[in-house]
Amino acid sequence: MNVTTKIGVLVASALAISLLVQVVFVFPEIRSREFGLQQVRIQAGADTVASEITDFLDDIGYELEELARMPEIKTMDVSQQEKLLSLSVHTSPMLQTVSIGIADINGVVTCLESLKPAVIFSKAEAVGMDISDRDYFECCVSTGATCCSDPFEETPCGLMMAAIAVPVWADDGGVGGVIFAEIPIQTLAGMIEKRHLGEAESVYMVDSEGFVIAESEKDLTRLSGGPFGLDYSSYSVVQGIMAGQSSVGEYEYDGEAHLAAYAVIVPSGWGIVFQKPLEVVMAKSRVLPNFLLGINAAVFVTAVLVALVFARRLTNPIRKLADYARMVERGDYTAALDVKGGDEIAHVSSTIKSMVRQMLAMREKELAAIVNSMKDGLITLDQKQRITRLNPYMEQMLGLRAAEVLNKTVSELEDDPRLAVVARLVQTESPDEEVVLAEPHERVVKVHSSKLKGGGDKDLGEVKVILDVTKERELDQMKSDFIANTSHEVRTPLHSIRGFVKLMLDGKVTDPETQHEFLSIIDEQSQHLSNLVSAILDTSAIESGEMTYAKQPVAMNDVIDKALVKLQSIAEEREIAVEADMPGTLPVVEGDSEKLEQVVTNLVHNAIKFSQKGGKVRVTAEAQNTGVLVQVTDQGSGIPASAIPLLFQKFFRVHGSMPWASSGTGLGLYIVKQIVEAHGGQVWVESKLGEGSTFSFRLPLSGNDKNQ
Amino acid sequence: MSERILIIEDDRSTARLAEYTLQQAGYEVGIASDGFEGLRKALGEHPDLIILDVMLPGLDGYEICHRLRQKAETANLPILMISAKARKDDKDVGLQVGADEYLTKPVDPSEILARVQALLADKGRIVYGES
Repeated sequence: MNVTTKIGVLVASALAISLLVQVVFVFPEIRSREFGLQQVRIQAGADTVASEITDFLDDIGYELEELARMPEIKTMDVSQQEKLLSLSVHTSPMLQTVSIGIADINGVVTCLESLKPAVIFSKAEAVGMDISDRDYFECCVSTGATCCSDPFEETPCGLMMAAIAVPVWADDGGVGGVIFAEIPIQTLAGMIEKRHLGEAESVYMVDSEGFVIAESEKDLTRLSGGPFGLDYSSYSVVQGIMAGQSSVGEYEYDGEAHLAAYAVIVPSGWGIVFQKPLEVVMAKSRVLPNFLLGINAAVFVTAVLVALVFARRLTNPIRKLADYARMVERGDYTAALDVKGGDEIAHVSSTIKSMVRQMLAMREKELAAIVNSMKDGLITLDQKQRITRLNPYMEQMLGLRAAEVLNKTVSELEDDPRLAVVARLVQTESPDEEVVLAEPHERVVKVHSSKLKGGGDKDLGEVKVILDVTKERELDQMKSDFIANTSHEVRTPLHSIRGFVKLMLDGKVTDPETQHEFLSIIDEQSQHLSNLVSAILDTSAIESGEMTYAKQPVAMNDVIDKALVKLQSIAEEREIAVEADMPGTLPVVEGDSEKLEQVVTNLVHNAIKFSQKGGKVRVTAEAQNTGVLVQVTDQGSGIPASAIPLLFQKFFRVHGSMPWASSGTGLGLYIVKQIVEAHGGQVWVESKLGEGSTFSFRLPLSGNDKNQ
Repeated sequence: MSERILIIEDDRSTARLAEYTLQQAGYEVGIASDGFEGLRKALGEHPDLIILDVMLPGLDGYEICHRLRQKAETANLPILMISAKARKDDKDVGLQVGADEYLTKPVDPSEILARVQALLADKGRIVYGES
């Protein structure tokens, strides 16, 4: 779940809790208050109607009581009574809708007056009528109080009437008669029917027996069969009224639950029921909670949306940061991270960015240090085959600057003849391919290729390590040359030895002189072979670094003397005069006397070999500031200038005009140079064709070394 | 008149060995000890066969052989190369430049003689049509 969702869920759950609290605790309270208000309203409705009718009846009762006290009425003089009643009906507004009559103590109507004869039966019909059996008359006479009747059907006109009766007291203190008013039920019903009622509200009036007098929705007076047909006495609220109570209750009316308030109309014992379907009441009481619920829902949706938008704005930079981190993880250090603003996230972003930069810089520094110190060439390529790195050793090998090739593709490099060689190096395919470089020096290099992989096997390019194997190849060549040369050198004396031995074994050489000649050749060639083997062994020892020098203080006089003694016979045989010219003592040098003797021997032997018969070889030695200089000079044919640089190389021989002296190992001067240099000295040659050569070597003084 | 053989060889003992062997067999033998001398004598002295070394002062044996094959009068001259250079490459070069035989030292005197006789016999066949 991402942060945006989390914030959304957080806000949503906070709001949900708030809503739950409202639904569980607040809404029922609101509902019950609303319900209470509805109750009060219904109650007020019932009370208002009941009190209006009570007032109406009370007012009529009061008027009747006033009249009853009038002396004209008390006299029971009919004419007097008629006058007064007529006056009352015409003057009292309360009495304009009713008929007022007076009956004597026997219940016989003596007079009757009404303003609207059309509504009430006529005076003629009324007078003489016996009302002694009517309950209001009986009640009034027996109790002496104002009595009110339940509705009844007035016989002459057939209208529903209710009556109020007040006793007329005789002077003797007894009831002398009754003054009564008959009220058309229609008048009362009008008071109910015309009421302005609220939605679904209805009101009805019942008499003390529970029969309906009037109902707001129905004109009961016009119902056939009259109102007595509608008996509501089974309703609980009506029973409450019949018991003389005013209250609120729920009951079923017309098959539907209703909330009803009922109130007793005191003078008559009738009652008013003001009711409303419970459904409607409940609905009303739910209006506010539902409204609130709606507002809550709107707030919920809005808040969550706002939270999501806000969270998105909040997490957007975080997501960018995460994307960036992922890119870096995969090795793409050039990824862009663009988080603006001055908040903590922007701060973290810039810190991470600079951290990566710094890390990269450190890594690059470290890598550069490693790569720059490598003694092998290194070229790296990115995934688009562009050169990303070329180390100093490689620059040196190729004789060009890294800056010339950086960021160039292979095809770009191929277009430049100077740089094409780099393209050739990076295009090697087999892991250990060899390439021959022509410039700036001829070199053989071996290219190791390996792929660079980043996180998730991402292709990051290629690394080429270029090993300079020129030395190895040269060494290989030298080795095989050495073997070929030595075998060649060995074959020549072997050929002579074998050949002459065969000739002699055949027994055909009988001449003693010839025999001696051949044996001398065999001897000479054996000696040559032996020298050759020694020289080869020396060379091999020198080359493998196994040549050891037993260094000690050496007097060069002795060394030179010993060498000359050994060569004496050869010199004599060739008729060469060897002269030595050196001071009695020479400074002491540090060295291996046997090896130094070999140096002198080789040089003097060469001089003898390359001298004409009867020639002269001169050996000189002298002390110099820094060492001892020994020189061997001959009067031979000299060495061509072109051969001088090659003279001290292995197996190099000058084929001069002295064929008989040319049989050598080709190793003598090489060994001389190696030994002299191992002693810290130098060897060189000066020669003039036709005049002779001088080989010189100088050895450092042992004392010099120590003192300085 | 005995056949004449020119030995071009800088190694004294090798030359002597061939010289003695061939003289004993009745040939007239001449020796040249460097390349230039050898080429001069080969062209000037009209030998019947040349024994040629490879490693020579001045011109080497390959060069001499090549030059002799360029000239009409020596184009068919039997040339026997005897060298210490024993690599197959060396022998191939020798045969390419026109040597009739290429022998690697050491070679027995009897073999040198046999080869010389064989080459001379071949030459005779070509020249005289004899079997």
